[in-house]
Amino acid sequence: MSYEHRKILFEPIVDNNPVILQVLGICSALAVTSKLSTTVTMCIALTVVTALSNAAISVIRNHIPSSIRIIVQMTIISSLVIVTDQFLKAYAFTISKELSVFVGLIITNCIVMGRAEAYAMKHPPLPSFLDGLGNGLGYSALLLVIGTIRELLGSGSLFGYPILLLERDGGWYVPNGLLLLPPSAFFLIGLIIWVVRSWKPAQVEQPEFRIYHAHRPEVAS
Amino acid sequence: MKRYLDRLRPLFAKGGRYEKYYPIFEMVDVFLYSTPETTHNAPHVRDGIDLKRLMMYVVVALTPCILWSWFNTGYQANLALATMGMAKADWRYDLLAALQIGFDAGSILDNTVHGFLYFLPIYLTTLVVGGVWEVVFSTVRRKEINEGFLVTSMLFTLTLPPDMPLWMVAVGISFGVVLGKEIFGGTGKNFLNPALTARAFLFFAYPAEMSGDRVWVAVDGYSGATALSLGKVGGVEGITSGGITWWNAFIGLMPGSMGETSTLACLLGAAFLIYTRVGSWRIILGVFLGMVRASLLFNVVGSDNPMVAMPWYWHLVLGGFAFGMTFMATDPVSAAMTSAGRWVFGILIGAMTVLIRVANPAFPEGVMLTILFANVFAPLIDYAVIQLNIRRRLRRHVRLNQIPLYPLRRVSASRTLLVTFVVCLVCSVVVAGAAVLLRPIQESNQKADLIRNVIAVSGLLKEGLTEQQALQRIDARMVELATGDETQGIDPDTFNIAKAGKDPVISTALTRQDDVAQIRREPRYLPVYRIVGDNGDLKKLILPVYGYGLWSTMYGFLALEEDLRTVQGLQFYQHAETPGLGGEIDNPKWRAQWRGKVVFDDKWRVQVEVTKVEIDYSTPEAQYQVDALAGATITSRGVENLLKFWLSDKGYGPYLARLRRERS
Amino acid sequence: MTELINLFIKAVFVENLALTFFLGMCTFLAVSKQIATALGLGIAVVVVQTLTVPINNVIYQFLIRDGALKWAGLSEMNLNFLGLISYISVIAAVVQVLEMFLDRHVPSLYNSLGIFLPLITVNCAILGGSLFMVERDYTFSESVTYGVGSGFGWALAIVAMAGVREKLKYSDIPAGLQGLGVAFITAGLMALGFMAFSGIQL
Repeated sequence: MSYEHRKILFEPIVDNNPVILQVLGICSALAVTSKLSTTVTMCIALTVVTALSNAAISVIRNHIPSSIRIIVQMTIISSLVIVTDQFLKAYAFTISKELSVFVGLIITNCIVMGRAEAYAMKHPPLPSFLDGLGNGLGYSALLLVIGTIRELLGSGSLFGYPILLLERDGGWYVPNGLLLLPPSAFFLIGLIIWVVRSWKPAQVEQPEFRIYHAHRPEVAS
Repeated sequence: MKRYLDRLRPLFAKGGRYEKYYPIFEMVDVFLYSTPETTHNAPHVRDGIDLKRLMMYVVVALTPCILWSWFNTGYQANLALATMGMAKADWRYDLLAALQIGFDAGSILDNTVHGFLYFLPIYLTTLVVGGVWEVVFSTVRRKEINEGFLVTSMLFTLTLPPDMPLWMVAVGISFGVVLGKEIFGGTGKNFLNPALTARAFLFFAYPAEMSGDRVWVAVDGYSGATALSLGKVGGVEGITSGGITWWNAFIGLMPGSMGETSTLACLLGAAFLIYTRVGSWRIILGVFLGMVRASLLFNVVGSDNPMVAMPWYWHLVLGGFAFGMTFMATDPVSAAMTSAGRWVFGILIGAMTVLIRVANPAFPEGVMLTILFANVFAPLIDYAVIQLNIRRRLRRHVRLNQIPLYPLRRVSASRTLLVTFVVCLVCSVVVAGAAVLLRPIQESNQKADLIRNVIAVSGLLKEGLTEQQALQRIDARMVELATGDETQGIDPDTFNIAKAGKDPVISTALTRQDDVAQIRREPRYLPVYRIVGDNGDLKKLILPVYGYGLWSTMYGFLALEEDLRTVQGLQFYQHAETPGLGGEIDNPKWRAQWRGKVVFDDKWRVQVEVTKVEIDYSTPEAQYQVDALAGATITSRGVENLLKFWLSDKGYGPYLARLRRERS
Repeated sequence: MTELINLFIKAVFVENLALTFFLGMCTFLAVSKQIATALGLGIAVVVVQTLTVPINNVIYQFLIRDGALKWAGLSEMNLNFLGLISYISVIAAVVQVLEMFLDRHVPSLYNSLGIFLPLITVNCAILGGSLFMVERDYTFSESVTYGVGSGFGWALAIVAMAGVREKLKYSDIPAGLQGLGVAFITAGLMALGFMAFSGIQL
């Protein structure tokens, strides 16, 4: 694998993460992360769909008339998603039941559409495939972190196996119910962004304008 | 001291040795003496008043509430101790004994000191933890320490139940101060009230400690419902029969959050805030009028919900309404800032509080969440007011920006059609192929999932059978509910209960009166699972049951023993009840209680009760009774109702009667 | 009639697509920096949602659902697996047609809404609305109400978010949280406020 390809594959994981830099794919990040098992399923499904749809769209990119561009992309993506959904129903039934509506929402997961539009329409199939894979992995990395925190602190378990002994079962840990509710994912993503940007200051956004302090306390004395 | 501090000042000033710690120095200095300069950035731009004086006024206004909180917390605890007999020992009791202070609920001193010992640890915790965060952020970000957190920690403490574990208090105030305030730049730059944010956090994070009946009186194991939760069940009569008169509620002699019980104390505070112009009278009056209007409206509409009939003067004295109206809604930073906006803001809070109290069974009290909600909309309200003003004054149209759009590139129509056709063809082949090929596997999955739940509730696995052997014992039949006859022609294995309950073809609508389980429509047919012995005789009967809990429809199976009277097990396989409270219907300990209970009496009348009262096992009724889930009244009642419904003549009654006839 | 009003209120507040189901979050966070822009997008969402939910309802009732093809003599046919693909095509087509229609007949509206229309195709709140409609099996009149209500709820949420963010311009936010980070936390706090409605029974 050449350097170029490796860069395409690994860059989206931290340096250009789709969720925390490109503002893509947030809905599902909130909805499926209360349990690690659904998180993993969602990550795999999304990574597969993004990679394949990128490749498929890239193959026919020169034949798509721009007036129906979006419909064509949508059709391809939704076919792939439906097939994934059918596979989940056949081979991972319990998990597909929990994902229910959200598997359908991979279709409108903006990562898939966003990468198709931004990358696959302009690049050959192999790099497009890698780009899809990389963005899927970047999305997965973030989701797994959130999923781990939420399940561990929210129900004291990981993949359903108890890790922290709960108080009501005679242990010491009182689970934090808020982490099972979707708003908690907002806070976690916000804090993760803070951590990542403190680590990599190049990602910091400039405020639109600063407030000028007329006199600072240090100067006063 | 003052001179000492002044001498130290250069050390901390810019370029001095301890430059980093200037904020800490500044806080100590300013806290002890007056500030060397006036406020640099006021918490709200439109007022020039010194921030510190503003905060002091709020603390003064809070004084009646604080004093009352000491008295009432102690009073309620002493009353509870008197009823329970003196049983508890912790540091408070040792300390009180050492001070020779008794536990007499009739003595003002006894009550006040006792209550103070509950108030103090919580307050100190919020003060220390909140203060540490303030110092950390100020030091790292080189800003002044702001006294805002003094008010925040006081407000937060007063909204908590007296027995709150201290580590939860610490977690709550951390969330409120850091995410509700500090990350926005500290006091004056946030958009939500940090004390409320902290309380909302605790409410959702640890619902068992923040709601229910056990937390409001500071004695372990003593259950004292708040007036509001009494009202939810029985309306005004429910409250008065619980021993709380309107005057009690007005003065604050009832269980509740520490500082929220006394409307009188809050109104005194409100008068002071309005007099000093620290609190906006528009907001306070708006909240009050909104509440009155909304409750009058509900009074006129009328319904069987007991809260609908509650008059406005009761709404005023219950729960945290007065406290929220006076101290939370008027927070100058997070409330609306325009005069007209303040009216709208206040009315929104008042009306919505009543709406939540009446229409939301999940939360007994709505005022705190409502204020948060209104905080969210405050900037928008102000924006609308300002825009309206601008428009009125200018009476001129604002031109929309003309944004040029990209023209669409022209491609020949035949090519477009061709691409569309090919894409559709390929996609549909792939999709249809997958759907058709995988369907058998999916259907068998669905079947297996259902049967697995049936086997789980049947208890056959515990009797040492393997899943395969258990499967052989299950004989699924479809039953027509109205007649109790078994019907052919529908496959019970693929029958979807949830879907059937909505399909108008095979279900009938229930009248409100019949709809005990709140399911709206009842399917005409349902599957039942007979567990048969070696020669085909009925050993157990498993019935699908479902009904509405607090948030969701709970789907489950009820397994009856051979006598069709004794419960073998009750298990829910799908629901979305509150984790930790209603969600405990999955708790094996609770489920185990059902085993061996009886659901019919001698005359085959339905007898089930999920009770909040402690079960007296010496009475014959105990065989029908199961303990309610702690803190989950509505889920528990939902379980009771759904069993009553499905065992009645509307449900499986006719079928059960037929089985009994066949047997005899 | 009262049932439809209840459904409307439920769709706007209790089951707000943005702040209780968290749909359409990407646009919600990306296009909420200014009230005026947020308002434009909000109106576009209301329009598209009002059109697509009822149209998809018709498609569902007469083509997709189990046994829906009875009128064509195909009572055994079950086209469930085609559901998603048809709904999304309808949405994409409606957006495209709307764009062309506005361009030709109401150019002033096109100029203010136009840039938001392509954004809407990928807004999962729109597809989510249609999927909820299917899941709850709404009748046609209910689907119209639900379409208007859910669109309006989403618009209300994004405008409120923009209001808060305009106010936050005057805040002093740590560098690492500037922009997106604080937007996430703001949205989380707003969702906490909206939790007041969860569980309301009308």
